[in-house]
Amino acid sequence: MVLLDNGVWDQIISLIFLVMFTLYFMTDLPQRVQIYRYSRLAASKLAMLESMVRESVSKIAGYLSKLGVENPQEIVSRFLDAYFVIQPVDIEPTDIIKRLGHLIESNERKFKNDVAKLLPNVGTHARNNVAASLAIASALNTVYKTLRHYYIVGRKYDNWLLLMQLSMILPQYLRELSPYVKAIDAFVKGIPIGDSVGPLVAFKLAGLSDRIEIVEDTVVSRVEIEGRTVYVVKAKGPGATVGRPGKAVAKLVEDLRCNVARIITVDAALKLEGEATGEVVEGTGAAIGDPGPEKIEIERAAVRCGVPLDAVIVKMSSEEAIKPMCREIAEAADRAYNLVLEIIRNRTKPGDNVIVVGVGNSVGVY
Amino acid sequence: MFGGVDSDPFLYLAIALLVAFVVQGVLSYLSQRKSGSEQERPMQILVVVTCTNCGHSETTNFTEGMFVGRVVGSCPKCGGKLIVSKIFTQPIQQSLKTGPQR
Ligand SMILES: [Zn+2]
Repeated sequence: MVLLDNGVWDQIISLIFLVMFTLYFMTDLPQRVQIYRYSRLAASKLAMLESMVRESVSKIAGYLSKLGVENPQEIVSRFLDAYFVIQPVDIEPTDIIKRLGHLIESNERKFKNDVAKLLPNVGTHARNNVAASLAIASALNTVYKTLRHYYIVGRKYDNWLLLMQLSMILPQYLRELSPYVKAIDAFVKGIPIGDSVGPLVAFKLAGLSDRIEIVEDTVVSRVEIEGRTVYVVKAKGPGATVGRPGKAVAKLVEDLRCNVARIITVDAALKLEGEATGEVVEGTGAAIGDPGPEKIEIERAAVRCGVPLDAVIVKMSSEEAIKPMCREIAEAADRAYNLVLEIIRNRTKPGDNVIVVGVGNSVGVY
Repeated sequence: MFGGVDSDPFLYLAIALLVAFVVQGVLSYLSQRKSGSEQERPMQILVVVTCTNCGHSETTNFTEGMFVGRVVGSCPKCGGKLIVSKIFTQPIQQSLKTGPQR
């Protein structure tokens, strides 16, 4: 400071400013730095996603080794990549829903048979739990691999827009996918998840009465409620399966020769952000969130026989639907049950036949 | 102000910006920590068993093998069937406040 007079300092500072100005506005250095930052952020989030896939694989492997399977890690990784479904041709819409249903069904059957071959000495429920857990791990793995693909493409072609998008969307994906890892815990231990609210309402109606397997993995119980004969349909519990509620309703309606006064479906539904979890609402239609084949069976059966369709939904977020059931949803099941009773009381007469379908995954619910 | 230094407007501007940056940094750090701790809340799994006969119910901890609809014993009041009627999770702190019974 003492050696140089003020004029030199001024010159040095303005030179620094000039250099910085040039670098900032005349080169693409800022963008390079940003690419570097975005790609590092994306890479760290991707690593977290990869560890989630690993965690889910090791959880299932742990469960398999507890069931007495050798080489569990290898078996789980073999299941991760297989079993994709190719969408049916949709430029020819004739019977597209039938073809889609057929593909989904045969894929599920193949998957289940392979799991059964793998675990010959394990009961159906434990086997269903393994199958559901494997399906989750496989879905997580698919998401991870897709995002990794975009990350590598972004790095390869220096596409900073892609890397920026990835680094912005990845935190949201991580938060949305972390419940899936927790869901594996639920499936492995047999704890009901949020989506099990439909089967839980069905259980409240049916109690411990006999379950008759009407179609694969789907049971129906016959109970008397205030003079009405109520047929309660749900997936076969307490293993993790969603069953085939649509086919079950179609078969039941056929068996009853259209002598049905009402079909009531109970299901979990996605709430909007800001809505309360566990809100029970009533509407019209088939409350069931499958890709289409099951829902259309219920609608067709209802239209063919002119049966009114009531829908009772319990609102929750997608996270809450897949995580172990929280208290709000368990209590909402009571309200949904009372609403179903009210519908039966007010809109049917004694002597009527009523079908109530508890749609959802019946893990941990008999 | 500032011990008689010439009141340079750029000095004030620089100080104001610095303060703003520090405040913003602290705020974002705090909000990040809050959302992080929210995710890590420890949960407990509770089971409600109810008597099918008299409606007597009690809450216990979950053990593996329990499912809704499983008969777990007989009612201490009337001897009817005790079955699991609910299984749900809740944050552990919440139950300390409200107590184990419900
Ligand atoms: Zn009792």
